[in-house]
Amino acid sequence: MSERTFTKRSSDKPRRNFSRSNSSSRSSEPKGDFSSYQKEGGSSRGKPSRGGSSRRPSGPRREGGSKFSDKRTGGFKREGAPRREGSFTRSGTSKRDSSPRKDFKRDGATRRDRTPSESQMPSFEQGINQIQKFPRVFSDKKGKTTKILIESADGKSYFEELTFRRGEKVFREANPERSKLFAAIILGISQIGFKQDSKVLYLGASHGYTISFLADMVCDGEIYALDFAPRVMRDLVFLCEDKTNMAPIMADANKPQEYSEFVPKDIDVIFMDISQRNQTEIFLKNCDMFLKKDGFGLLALKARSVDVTKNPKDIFRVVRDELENNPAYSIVDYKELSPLEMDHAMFVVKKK
Amino acid sequence: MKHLSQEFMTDFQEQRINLIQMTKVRIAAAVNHDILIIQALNTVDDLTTQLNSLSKRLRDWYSYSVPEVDRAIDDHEAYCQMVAGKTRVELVDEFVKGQEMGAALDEADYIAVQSLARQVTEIYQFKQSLLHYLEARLKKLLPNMTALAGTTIAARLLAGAGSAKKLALLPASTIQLLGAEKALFRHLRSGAKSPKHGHIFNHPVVQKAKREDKGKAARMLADKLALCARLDYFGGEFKADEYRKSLEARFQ
Repeated sequence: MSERTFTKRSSDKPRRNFSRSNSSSRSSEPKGDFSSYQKEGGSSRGKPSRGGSSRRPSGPRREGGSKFSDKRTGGFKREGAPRREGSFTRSGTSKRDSSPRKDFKRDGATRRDRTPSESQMPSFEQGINQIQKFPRVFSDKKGKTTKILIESADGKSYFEELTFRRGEKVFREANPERSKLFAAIILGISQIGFKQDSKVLYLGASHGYTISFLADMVCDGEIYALDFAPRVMRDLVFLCEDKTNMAPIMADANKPQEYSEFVPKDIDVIFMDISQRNQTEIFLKNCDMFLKKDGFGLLALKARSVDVTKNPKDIFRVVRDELENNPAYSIVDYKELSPLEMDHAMFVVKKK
Repeated sequence: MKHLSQEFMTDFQEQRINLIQMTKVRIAAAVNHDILIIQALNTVDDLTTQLNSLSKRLRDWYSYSVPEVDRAIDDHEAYCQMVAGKTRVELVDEFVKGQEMGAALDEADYIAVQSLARQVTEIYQFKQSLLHYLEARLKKLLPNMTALAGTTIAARLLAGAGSAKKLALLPASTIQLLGAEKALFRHLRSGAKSPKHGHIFNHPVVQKAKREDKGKAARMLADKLALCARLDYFGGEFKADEYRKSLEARFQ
């Protein structure tokens, strides 16, 4: 898995650095931040830098090892050497470079547009920064790619995701293509309602990918993870045994009365990610029952399971109207997750 | 304040441990014959694909030694048995006329190929035993359904529905199209032609029907299958033979 991310990064790199003429400005970028991360259990690849200082002089940063760093330091040493540069752009890739962008403009169906475009992204700064609105959520922006990092409570990796260590802190990398919550964050949702000590009811926990991160974010709170299918519940129980702030409930979200005795009535945040036809109805039913006043409800709506034949935008509008017309709730934010999760939208409502 | 929250957390911890216990009990209670049958069916499907690719590999590999066997025997299973059971000399005697095209392999090379052949033969036997198990289980769980649809189709319909209960509650039109979801949703989304049959396409009644009757045959078969599923789930008598005869009389 480390292989994958590293090759990804190294393929991004020449695109950014070498296609532009001011290659000397590279040294002033604070992306040296990243090299101060030690990958958990990383061996020869990505050796930790000494001291953990965030910026380092532009000399060779790591003492040998990864292919990636070799290339980069090599680039530094022989700055401006035409042969070297040619080897990176692979002589004539400038044509290859520009062609996918044309495709992107024309029909938007290429692989590249899976990552959201610059205009959609919130203004993350370069390097590691905490996103102040959300508890224990950090962003790591390097060039065009932004990663969402969650500060881990126990330092473990649960879904084979990468972890980074900086000093005492351990960060887990969340994949926004697997989680609607982090897709919404990376697309710049304004509010999600979670605090470190929130009580959360999570409907549709599935194998527990999102909720494993949520358990790190809400490290002092309590999470009730609900799902209906025995197969995914199996994985979830193992996760709940590791994470001490999560409790599993195997029940049907459509029948809240069946599990109301296990869930307190003063829940701070309800997150719903179930793909059902009457998803909004189930959501409101649960919000009515469990959400406290001023509590947040997050609805990740899958348009394709509401009605495959209709245009997703129309469905979003209908649901939006439905939520707006409900006197008990007001819509705080609404985000379509389209490049990361197709035909999905995230609604954030607040109980009045 | 801190004390309070501490106390509260212990409350939550108790609750959490209870919930984990309860969930474990519920997960254990959710195991039933239906999902075991579905697992067996999926295993058979997996084995089929694996066996095909392994058999092709074996043919390719062994043909360096005696290529004539590959040409003579079409059936994968028979080929594996032949290669696993007989020595090279025997095979050459049996299949080669005139000049040999294959090379004599070293002892170590030969052992490697032959042990693959033996393993593949064993997997074929395992698949066969799994099919017997599947058939016995299905006959017990869905007697009418299995008698009318046959083992494979009955198992696939069960897998498509999820459980015997869900299958019994499905309308006949849904049973008709189980397994044709891709075509159905393409039809719903873009107005392409609607599919006429899903898994039941492989049923002899549908296969034997004339081209213009295929839709009708699929529809009537699905009707009868829906009846069978309900008879099975709610414990009715055995009527599958009667249904089969009426269908066969209708679609010669």
